[in-house]
Amino acid sequence: MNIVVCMKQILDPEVPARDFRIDAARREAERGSASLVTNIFCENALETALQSGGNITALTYGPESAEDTLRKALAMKANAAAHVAGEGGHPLHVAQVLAAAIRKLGPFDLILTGRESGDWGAGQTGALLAEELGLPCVSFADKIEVMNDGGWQMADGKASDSSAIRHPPSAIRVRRQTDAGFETVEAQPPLVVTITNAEHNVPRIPKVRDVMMAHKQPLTRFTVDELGVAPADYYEIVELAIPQKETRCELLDVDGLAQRIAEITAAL
Amino acid sequence: MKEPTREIYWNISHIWLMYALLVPAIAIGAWGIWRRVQRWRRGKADASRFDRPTLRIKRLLDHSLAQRRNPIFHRLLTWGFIVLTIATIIVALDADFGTAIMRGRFYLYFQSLTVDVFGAFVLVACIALAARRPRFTPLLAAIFVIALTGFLVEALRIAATHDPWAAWSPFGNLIAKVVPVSVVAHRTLWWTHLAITFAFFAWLPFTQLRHIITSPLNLYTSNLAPIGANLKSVDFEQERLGVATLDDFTWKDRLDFDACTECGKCTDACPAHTVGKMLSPRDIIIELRDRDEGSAAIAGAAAAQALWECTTCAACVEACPVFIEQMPKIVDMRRHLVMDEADFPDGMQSAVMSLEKRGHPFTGTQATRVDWTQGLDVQHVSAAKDADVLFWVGCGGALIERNQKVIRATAQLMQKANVKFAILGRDEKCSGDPARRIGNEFLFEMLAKDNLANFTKHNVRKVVTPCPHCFNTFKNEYPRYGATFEVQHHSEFLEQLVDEGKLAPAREDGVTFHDPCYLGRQNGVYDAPRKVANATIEMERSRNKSFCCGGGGGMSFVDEPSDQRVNQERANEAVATGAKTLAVSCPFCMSMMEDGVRGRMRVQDISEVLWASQQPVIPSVARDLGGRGAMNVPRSPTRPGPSLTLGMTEGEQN
Ligand code: SF4
Ligand code: SF4
Repeated sequence: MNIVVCMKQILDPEVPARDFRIDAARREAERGSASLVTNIFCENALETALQSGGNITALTYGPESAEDTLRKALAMKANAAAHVAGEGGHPLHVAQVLAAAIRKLGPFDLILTGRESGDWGAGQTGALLAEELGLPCVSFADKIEVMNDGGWQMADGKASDSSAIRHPPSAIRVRRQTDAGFETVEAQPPLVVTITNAEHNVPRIPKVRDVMMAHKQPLTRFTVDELGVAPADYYEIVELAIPQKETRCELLDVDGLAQRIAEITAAL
Repeated sequence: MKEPTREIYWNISHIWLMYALLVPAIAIGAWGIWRRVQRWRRGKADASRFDRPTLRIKRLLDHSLAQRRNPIFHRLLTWGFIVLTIATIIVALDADFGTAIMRGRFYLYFQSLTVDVFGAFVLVACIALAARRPRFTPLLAAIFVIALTGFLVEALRIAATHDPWAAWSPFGNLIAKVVPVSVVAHRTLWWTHLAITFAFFAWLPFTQLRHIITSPLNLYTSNLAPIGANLKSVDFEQERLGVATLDDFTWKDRLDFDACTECGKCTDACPAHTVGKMLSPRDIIIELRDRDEGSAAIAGAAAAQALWECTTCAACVEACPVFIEQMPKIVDMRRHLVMDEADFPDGMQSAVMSLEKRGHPFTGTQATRVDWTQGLDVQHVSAAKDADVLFWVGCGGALIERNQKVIRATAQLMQKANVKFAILGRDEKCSGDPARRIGNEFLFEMLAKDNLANFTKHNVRKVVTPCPHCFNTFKNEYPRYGATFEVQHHSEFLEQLVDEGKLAPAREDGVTFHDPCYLGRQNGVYDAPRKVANATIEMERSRNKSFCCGGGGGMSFVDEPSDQRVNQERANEAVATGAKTLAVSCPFCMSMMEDGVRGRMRVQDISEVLWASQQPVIPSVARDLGGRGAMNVPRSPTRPGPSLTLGMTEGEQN
């Protein structure tokens, strides 16, 4: 089974609030002292793929620094990695770029993305990617089972044996998280699945040996031009601001207390 | 009167039989030793074990003859053993090599009196040690019987020969008064004594008594550097990283195993063991010693769990009478689990992940590295070209809210003393100590190289830090990567400022001091922090015998069972002194001790105690400094989950 996992490098969402700045004019977050990390849901997606077994390609679209995300994916034991150099951008554009790259790298049985990224949190790329590729999409999934040799094979949560699933699976069963609980759907591959976090897809810690090896592995490289994708301009960020929290304290007199409370509640 | 001596082999014939027995005894003993030597030789290389011979000889004498770490009875036993062995050799030289040295004064003072007294020492020591053990081990019993039969043979000879010099063997003479005159008994016992003694020497290399031979070798080749410099470096070209099987240990590690006397002093001193955890450094050493060539170093889940209970406090190393290095072996085995297997406790995993991503080990902190500077005029190194000192704050200092007060106090003290210092602020990264002690040498090297590059860039010549872990790492571990800068712990630096009259000495009373393992035991700094905080009350275990706070070796990132907390044990000891203030000098000790004393006494860093003494005395204000603040970093941070709260909440999943 061939799986591609789309991954994004983002500004560390754990940067202390006091250190977080934005460039209002350019409508972007400032890097400041924040580290660049792999979006956690993308790591959950990779972990889910590793547990399902198969031949896994990690794919990212981003600046040069995004190579770190791919190296980490290789260290976690993805089989191959591909980098589309560019600045990223709006979800539709990203989906178009990823789709173009996937067409070049494929065919794939399963295309995984995180449910959303920890920086903008738009949560659109997965669904738009499915649209671009003309494939069905299952969102908010946390578990994948694969029909293999006539039986359902559950990820055991540990081994990543790329030979475990030899044939393209005839069906894939996906568990979704919903507001009310879980929903299990069966689908014919190929399909796109967006992954959310769960107890059982916490990204594994790579072995140091694998980290060292990962730095020597070759990457497939593309540019946006090579893929022939034009910038998407279907939406625009009009304003970007950090919400200001205001707290006020007013000491009330006992006289006329009831009236003042009524005024305040009315104002709220 | 004739020249004092005695007839050797009186009443004994067929002396050839003695030599006939001696040959196989020596052969078996030598073969036993040779097998062990071969085992050491199969170990990996370890350079730097033979430099500075004078120091090594001194250590050998201090700890094999003077035996500073052993109880008096063990010393008596050793000395008795040595004296009796020498006496036996003298007998052989005199009787069978015709040297005639067993004569006159030498005979009286040494061969009679000294030997007699030391023989008595051996008997007394055997009983005393057996009482402590608390049983007569076969080995002790054998020594006891050898000494006892020796006395009986002497007594029988004195009784039968009316030896005119008998008074010079007071104990033998005493026994002679109660034994019958019997040449048969003498002859029988003489051969019995000889047979047991020879058998004992043949048997010796196959028991832990081999330490009679191995421990002097081990002492001579022991580590001369401070314990803090004890960890080996890792060759990343190797097939395995760290120690996975017995083959990965060095010859010195293997000699360590064989030098163990099984005395248990290490385990008695071990904080993890003391609070009821599985870890026992003694058992680790013995298990490794008895393991076969090529077999796995870490046996089973239980042993692996014990490795993750070690705080790397080095109490074991300090306690061992033969200088076995237990803690570095634990780190060696951790290295394999971390780097080759990626199999280690969750809390430590998140610390490692955070170190990789953010350069500090805490997850979920909202503090920044410069929060503590608010309202203080502190400059970044790039803006302070004339700074003499780089004030290295450390992650624990900058990012744990309670410790920010400590950092402020230290900075204010330096400002008061007109020290020109600067900080690295947001450019600081973890020194790498937790990564190294957890076992991720790869990550440690990356952090060390990053920091060193920063130091070089800013031309740093001198570093002062309130964190003993950073201090130890800079001092003992960065030189390997080319560091040449001077480093001082803030206790040493503040002591100097007080001595120079630039700061008023601390005038606080009722202060007790908790030695941080990485400042005290591992680097020998004991007096400076006591002086800075005017700490005059000592806990039961202090200085080199101090008891760990429980936070080292990555342990501050894991959840301890509530009934097995090292910090509780230590906090109770501090409270028991009746002191008002518990002074600490390490950000991790601060967290651990505050958590442990739970309001029963005040916990302050030595710099806070000293800073309070710089103020004019206004009692109500002075009391208030550095009170117990809540820690904002959880003691056991969980793995970073998603930072977004969109969609599902944790409770809704599964
Ligand atoms: S270093 Fe400390 S915790 Fe570790 S085994 Fe030795 S005494 Fe025990
Ligand atoms: S390692 Fe040292 S302290 Fe521990 S039992 Fe052996 S000899 Fe004693």
